[in-house]
Amino acid sequence: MISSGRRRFWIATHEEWIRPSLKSEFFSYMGDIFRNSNCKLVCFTNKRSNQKQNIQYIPLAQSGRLWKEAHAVLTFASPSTSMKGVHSKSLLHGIPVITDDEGDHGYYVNHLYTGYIVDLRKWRENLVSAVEMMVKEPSVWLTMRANAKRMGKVYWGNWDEEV
Amino acid sequence: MRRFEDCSVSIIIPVRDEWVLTRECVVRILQHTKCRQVQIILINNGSQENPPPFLLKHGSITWIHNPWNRGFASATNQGLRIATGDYLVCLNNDTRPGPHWLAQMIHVLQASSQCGMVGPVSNRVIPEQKIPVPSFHSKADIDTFTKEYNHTDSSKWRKSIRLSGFCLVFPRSIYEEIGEMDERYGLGTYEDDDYSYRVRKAGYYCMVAGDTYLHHYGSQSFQKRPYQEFKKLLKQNRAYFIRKWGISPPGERKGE
Repeated sequence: MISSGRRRFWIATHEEWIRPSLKSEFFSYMGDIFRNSNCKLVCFTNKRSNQKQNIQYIPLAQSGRLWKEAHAVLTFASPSTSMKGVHSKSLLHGIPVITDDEGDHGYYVNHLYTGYIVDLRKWRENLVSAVEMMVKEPSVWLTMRANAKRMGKVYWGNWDEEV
Repeated sequence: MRRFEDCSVSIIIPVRDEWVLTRECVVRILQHTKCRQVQIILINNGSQENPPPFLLKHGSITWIHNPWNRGFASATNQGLRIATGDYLVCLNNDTRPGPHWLAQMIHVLQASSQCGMVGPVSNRVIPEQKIPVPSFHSKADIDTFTKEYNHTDSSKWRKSIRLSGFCLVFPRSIYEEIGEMDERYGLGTYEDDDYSYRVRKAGYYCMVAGDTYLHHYGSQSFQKRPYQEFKKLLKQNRAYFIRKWGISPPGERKGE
């Protein structure tokens, strides 16, 4: 279980950002590690799902809230799904990204700098490390946030020329 | 050839805590860098501890205070932008400069206009720059070794495919031509391979000043996290280098 103490911490994801093969296991695991804490996983989706403690489902119509309220964005999409738009938008908003290193998912997020790269073979342990780091060491999260914003501004719309 | 005494140098040192080592490094620079003007630029990269007053008040030091850790390349670029020297030095704070350290490296640059960047030999560094050293039991041992080692000997100079970022020396003209370090290497690693590659791509040599020893204690800054996290950083930055240039980082060896 990860505890954020009094500090509220929102991790946002979206129904299309989690690969289907991982979905049920992922939500179940996140529900377990966030139990009895101030951390919450917020998933933007129109699908009706069983409500779990510390997992909140918000209709897609309200997805604008994601960029205003999330403390981190989490994406584990299929390798063939490009996350360029989502990740660069997230950086521009100063929101650190937790993602995997498949496809282009790790192209726009720098490990420990603007987010956290998860090794999918160890996604459970890595997820705990990522969230613990951001929650328990506020300076790490603030650093990622500041670097995300800066990198987003520097490279927004410019990634292809550089990569 | 311009005498070292007539040159101006800017030494750029990103620092994140480790003030004892930084103080030692700065004191040794001041002691062993006898040229017309020495500008030391310390970039306080989001340290948790306050810098010691000795450093804060020192007239030769120009400070940049970052509220957060901007990473190695970004901090170095901040320093490069305000550097005024004829020669620019990117230096790690966990080094112990000794006699003639910079004069000899600048000598290498001055010997050929085709030499774009130079680095010293050391105890903790990539294989191209590593030399065997005796066991050091004290700082006096390090100083004795450095003093005996550092004698100008051009037969020990050699071209290298890459240079380690723990100490890079280049003329201002190279910085103006090559540009800044690539900040997309984030927290750090591989930005030195990238810079070496760019220098060579522009038609210059990278040279190891085999006659100049610079002791390197070896940074602790990445070791605060589990090694697995550092490995991910290496893997990600290596992949970025390959995407950017279409080749593996030149000079890397199996197991690196």
